[in-house]
Amino acid sequence: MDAIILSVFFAVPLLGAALLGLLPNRDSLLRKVSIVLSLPILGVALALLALAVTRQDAGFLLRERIPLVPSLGIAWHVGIDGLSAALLALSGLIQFAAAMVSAPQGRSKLYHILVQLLFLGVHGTFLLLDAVFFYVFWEVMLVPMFFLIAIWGGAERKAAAVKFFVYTMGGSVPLLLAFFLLHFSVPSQGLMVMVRPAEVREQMAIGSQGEVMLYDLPVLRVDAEGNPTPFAAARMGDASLPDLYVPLARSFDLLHWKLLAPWWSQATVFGMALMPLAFWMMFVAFAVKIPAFPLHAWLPHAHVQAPTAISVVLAGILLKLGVYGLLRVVWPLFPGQVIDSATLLAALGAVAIVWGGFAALGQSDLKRLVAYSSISHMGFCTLGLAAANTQGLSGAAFQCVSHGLSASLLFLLVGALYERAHHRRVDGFGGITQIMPRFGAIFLFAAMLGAGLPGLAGFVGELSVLLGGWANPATQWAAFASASGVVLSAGYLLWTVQRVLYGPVRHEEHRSFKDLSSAELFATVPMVALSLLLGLWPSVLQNALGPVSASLSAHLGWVVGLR
Amino acid sequence: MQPHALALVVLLAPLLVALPGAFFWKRTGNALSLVGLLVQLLATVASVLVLRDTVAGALDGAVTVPWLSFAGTNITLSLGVHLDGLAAFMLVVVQVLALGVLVVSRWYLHGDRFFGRFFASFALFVFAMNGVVLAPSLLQAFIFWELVGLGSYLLIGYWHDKPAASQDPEYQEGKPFHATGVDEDRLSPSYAQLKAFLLNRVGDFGFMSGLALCAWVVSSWTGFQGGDPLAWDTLFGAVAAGAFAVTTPLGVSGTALLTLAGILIFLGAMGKSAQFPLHVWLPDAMQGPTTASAIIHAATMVAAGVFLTARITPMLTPGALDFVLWTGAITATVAATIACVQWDYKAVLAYSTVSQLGYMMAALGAGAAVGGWEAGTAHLFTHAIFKCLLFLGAASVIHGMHGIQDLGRMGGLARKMPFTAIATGVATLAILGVPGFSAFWSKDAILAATHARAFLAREAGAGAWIAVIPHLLVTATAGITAFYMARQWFLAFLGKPRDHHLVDHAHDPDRPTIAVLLVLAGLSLQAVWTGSLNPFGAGSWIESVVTLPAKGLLAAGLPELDEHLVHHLHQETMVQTLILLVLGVGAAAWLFLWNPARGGYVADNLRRRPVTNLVWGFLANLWFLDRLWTVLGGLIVGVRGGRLVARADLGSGPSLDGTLQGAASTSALAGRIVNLFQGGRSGAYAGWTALALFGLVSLILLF
Repeated sequence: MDAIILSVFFAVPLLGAALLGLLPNRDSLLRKVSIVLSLPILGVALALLALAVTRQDAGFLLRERIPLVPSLGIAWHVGIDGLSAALLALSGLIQFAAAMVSAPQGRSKLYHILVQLLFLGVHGTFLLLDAVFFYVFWEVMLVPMFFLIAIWGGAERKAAAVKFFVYTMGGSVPLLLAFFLLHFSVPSQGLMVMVRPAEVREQMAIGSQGEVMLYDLPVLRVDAEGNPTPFAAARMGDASLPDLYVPLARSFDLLHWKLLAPWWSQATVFGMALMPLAFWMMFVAFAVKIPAFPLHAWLPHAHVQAPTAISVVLAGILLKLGVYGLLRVVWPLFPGQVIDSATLLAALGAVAIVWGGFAALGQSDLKRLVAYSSISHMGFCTLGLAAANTQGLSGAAFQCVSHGLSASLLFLLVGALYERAHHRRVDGFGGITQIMPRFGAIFLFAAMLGAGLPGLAGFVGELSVLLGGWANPATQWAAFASASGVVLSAGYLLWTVQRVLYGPVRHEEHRSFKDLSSAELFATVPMVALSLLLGLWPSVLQNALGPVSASLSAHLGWVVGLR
Repeated sequence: MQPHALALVVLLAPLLVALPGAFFWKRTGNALSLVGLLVQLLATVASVLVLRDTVAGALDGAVTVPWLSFAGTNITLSLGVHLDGLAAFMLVVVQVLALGVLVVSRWYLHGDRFFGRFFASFALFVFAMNGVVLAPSLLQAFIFWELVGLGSYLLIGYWHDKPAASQDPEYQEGKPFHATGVDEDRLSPSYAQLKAFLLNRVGDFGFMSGLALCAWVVSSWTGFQGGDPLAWDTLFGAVAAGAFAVTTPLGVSGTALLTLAGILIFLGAMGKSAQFPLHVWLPDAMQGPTTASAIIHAATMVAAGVFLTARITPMLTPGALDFVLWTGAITATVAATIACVQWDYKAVLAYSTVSQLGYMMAALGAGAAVGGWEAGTAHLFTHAIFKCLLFLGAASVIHGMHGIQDLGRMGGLARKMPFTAIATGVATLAILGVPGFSAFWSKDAILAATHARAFLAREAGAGAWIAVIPHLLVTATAGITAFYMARQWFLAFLGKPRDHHLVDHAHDPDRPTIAVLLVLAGLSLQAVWTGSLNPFGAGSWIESVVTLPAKGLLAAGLPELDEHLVHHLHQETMVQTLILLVLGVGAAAWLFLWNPARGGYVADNLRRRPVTNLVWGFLANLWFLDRLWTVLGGLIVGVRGGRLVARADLGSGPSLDGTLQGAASTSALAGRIVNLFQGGRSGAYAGWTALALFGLVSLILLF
C-alpha cells in the first residue's frame, strides 16, 4: 500500500513525460502542463512533510519493500521519512518555479520531457532504499541534465555539459563499485548483527505472530540455551531490553546495510580494511554533487552555461542530493570512519566556505558569482555532516532547504536580469532598483537570505551547523574558521547588491526594463514567503529533520561505542 | 497588564508600521508617518509603564517560548522577553528618543522622494533595537543585533540612488572647504551602508563564534538542566559554577577560555559600537538622513554594543575586562583627536560619538568593582539623550543652511536660530561635563572608575605604570572633548557670519521640532538624572533602578573599596576634569572666538610648520585608519584576494579542474561523447536516454 502511494512520485513524471510527448508543440501549452505537473508532487510531498512534522519521530512515514530478485537481495524498497519528505517538498517547489520561468529556445517539447525525466531521477533517489535502484535513479538524473545543458545552454554549453558528465560519472563509478564491494563482503551464509534498541523502537513493525520486525527482518534474542528466538512485541515496553539481533543476508538494501554498520568496520576485502576504502569511494560520488572542495570545479561552468530554469533546478535540488546521499547511504554505514575522519571532513567544509566565498568575491559574472556562493554555502552542509551530532546533521539538512531557496531565488533573479539586459556583468548595471523596484526588493531579500540574516531560513541552517561544529571537539577549529563565512557572504552578496541595484542609473537603455512579470513573481514570491516562515518559525521544518538527525547521530555513537 | 506582555507590545508595535510600510510606502508616505508617530507614542507610554512595574515589582526574569530545539539533546533555544532595570530603562530611552526623532523627521524629510520609506525602515530599526534590549538570551541578542544591522543598512542607504560623493553636486556644495580624509570617489549612501554592514559582520564573526562556544560549554556541562544554554541565567549560572573550567576547546581551558569567549562576543560589540579599529563605518554612516544619524548615534545601533557588553558583564573575566577597558580608552582618544580637525558639522558629532562610546566601554571595562558598570550604563543613557539632541540640532542647522555642513561658512547662527542654539548649547554643555548637566555626573563617574581601577592595579604591583595608561587616556580625552565640542558650537553659533548670504536666511525649525529640542535639552540637565539640584551631590536614583545582576563571576560578591578612598579618588578626578574642561574650552575660545580671523585659518597655520603639519595631516586623515581598511581589508584582501582565488579556481591554475580539464579534452571518450550527441534530432536524444537507462539497468541485473 505504501509503495502505491509513493508511486505518485514516479507516475506523475513518467505519465507527464508521455503526455507532453502527445501534446501539440506549443510553448505556452507545454509550459502550462509542466507547471501543473509539479503541483501534485508539491502537494503530496507537503502533506507528507506535515505528517512528519506532527509525528516528530525518526520512523518512516511510509515504507514498503517488494523483493524482486531474492537471490541477490534486490528489492523495490521505497520509503519516506522526515528528511526525504522535506527535500521532496523542496523539489516540488523548485520544479514549480523552474517550470514557471522555463523558456527553452526551440525543441521545447523535448526540453519539458527531459525535465520530467530529471525529476523522475530526483524523486527516485530520494525515495529508494535499495542500492541498485538508488544507483539507477542517481544515473537517471545525470542523462537529462547532460542534455538540458548541452542543448539549451549558453555558448560553451557542450564543454560545460561534458565537464558535468565527466565529474559526475567519475564520482558515480566508484559508488557502483563500492556497492558491489559491500554486497559481496557479507558472508554468503549471512550474519547475525546486534541492533540498537532505540532504532528498534523507532522503526519496528509487528509481524503476524506478534513478533518484532525491523525493516522486514525478524528481531531475535538469544534464549537461555543459546538459540535465537523471535522477540515478542509485547515486551518492547520493558524497561531494559535483552541484546537484540537481526539475521542479515547478502542484499542491496540500504537499511539492512545500515544494520550491518558494526560489520563493515571490521570486514576486509582483498586483504584491506573495507571501511575506509568503501567510505571514500562513496564519499567522492556524493561530494562531487554537493560539491565539496576540491571536487567543485564543474559547478560554476555548468551554472553559467545552463539556462535559468536549469540553473535553478541544479542549485535548488541537485546539489542537495549529494548531502542526502551522505546522510542516507554513507554516514549510517560507516560511523567509525565518519568519527575518525571528522577533522578532515570538517576542514573540507571550512575550506569550501572560505575558498568559495573568496572566489565569489572575485567574480565579474553574476551567475558565476551565485555559483561560487553555492559552493561556499554548501560547505556548511559538509561541516555539519562532519560534526555528526544532531545540531550538525539537522543543520546540514536545514541548510539544504534554505540554500535551495536562496540559490534558486538568486538564479531566478539573475536570469530575469539577463533576459532584459542580455549580459550578466556585475559592473554592467547600476540603479536597477529605481527601474525595477519589485526586482530590487526581492534581490535584496535574496542577498540577505544568502548572507544568513536572522529571521530568514539561511540563518537557522548556519547557526545549527556552527553550534554542531563547536559541539564536536574534532571540528571546532573548522567551525571557528567557518564563521568567517558570515563576513564573506555579506561581502560578495551585498557588494553585488550595491553595484547592481544602487547608485544612479548608469545605462539609459536600462530604463526600458519592465519590472518582474507575474510569472517571475509566481516563481519567486513563494520562496520569499517560505524563507521568512522557516526563519521565523524553524520548528515547522526542524520537527521533521531533528528526529531523523538525532536518530542518525545516536546510531553513529552507538556503532562507534561497539568498537 | 503584565509587564512582560506590555513589553512585548512595545517590542512588536513598530511592526504595525514596518510591515505595511515595506509594501505601500510610496503611496502612503504621509499617513505612514502619522501612524508611525501614533504607534511610537503608544509604545513610549507602554514602555514607561513597563519601567514603573519593573521598578515597583523588582522584576528580574524572562518569559520565553521555544524557538529551535534539537531532538536527542536537551537543548532548546528560546526567544522571549526579559525584564530587569537595565532593560526597562533602556527600553524607555529608546522609545522616547525614537518618538522625538520621528517628530523631527516629519519636518526634516518633508517632500523627500523616499519620505514613506524612512518611516518603514525606522520602525524596523526600532523593533530590532527593542529586541536586543529585551533579549532573554545571547541568541536573541544576536538575532535582533543582526536586524539592527539591517535597519541601519536601510537607513544609511536611504538615498541609495546617489552617486559617489565626487560626482554628487549636492555633496560637493555642502562639504567643508577644509574637508580631508574622505574617500570621495567611493563614498556614497550605498557604499556607506555596505561598509557599515561589512564591518559589523567582521565583529559578528567573533560574536557568532563566542555564542557557539558558550552554547557548547554550557550544554556539555554536567550541571546543565536542559533548556536554553544561552539564556542569561543559565549562562551566568554555568560561569559561576565553573563550567568553563572543565572543557578545552581549541586547546584553551579555564579562565583563558572564559576570557576568549568574552572577547569573542565583545568583538561583536566593537563592530556595532564603532570601537577602534572597527569604528570607520560610523562617520561614513552620516550619508543617511541626519535624523537617521540621530537615532543611530543615540539609542539604537551603537548603543546596542554597549548594552550587550553591560549585559554580559557577569561573564567577563579580568582579562576580558582589560581588553574592553583598553579598547574603550584607545577609541575615546583616537576619535577625540580626529574630531578636533573636522570642519563638517556632522563629522565632529560622529567622531564625538565614537569617542563617547569609547568612554562607556572603558567604564564597563574598569569593572563593576570600582563602579564602572553603573558609570558606563549611566553614560549610555545620558549620552543617548544629548547626542540625539545634538544631531537633531544638526538637522535644524543643516536645514537652515540649505544643506551646507561647513563650519567654516557658519558663524553667528545663534541670532538666526536661537532655539537651536540654546538646545544645542545645553547638549554641548552636557557633553563637556559642566556641573549641572547630565554628563558631569556620568562622565565623572567613568573617570572615577578608571582612576580607581588604575589605583587598584598599582596596589597590586605588576605592570603598574601600564595599568594607568587607560585612565590617562580617558582623562586627557575629557580635555580634548571640551576643546572640539566648544569649538564646534563657537564656530557655528557665535562670532560673525562667515557667509552672510547663507546665514541671513537661516531660521529655526517648526514648532514641534523646537518642542522636541527643548524637551531633550531639559533631559540633559543633571537634576533629572541625579534627582538633586546640587551637582556635587552623591548618588542617583538610577543606580537603584539599573543594577547589575549578581550572577556569574560576580556571584561571589564584589570587593569593597574603602569609602574614603573612593571619595578621595572621585574628588581628585573631579578637580582634574574641571581644570581640563576650562583649558579645553579656553583654547577653543581663544582660537575660534576671540581670534576669529585666526580660527578660520588655523588649519592653514598648522600646515605652515613641518611638525604641526605632520600632526595635522595625521589627524585630518583620520589616523589613516579608514584608508587602511579600504586598502588592506577592501582592496587587498577582498578584491585582490577574491580575484586571485577566482583565477586559481578556473582551471587555468594548478587546481584539480585544470588537471581534469586537460585530461578530458585529450581523452577520446569525451570527444566521442560530444560527437555522438552533436547535431542529432530529438528522437535520437530520447533514444539515447532510453538506451542509457536500459543499459544501466540490464548491466546491474545481469551482474
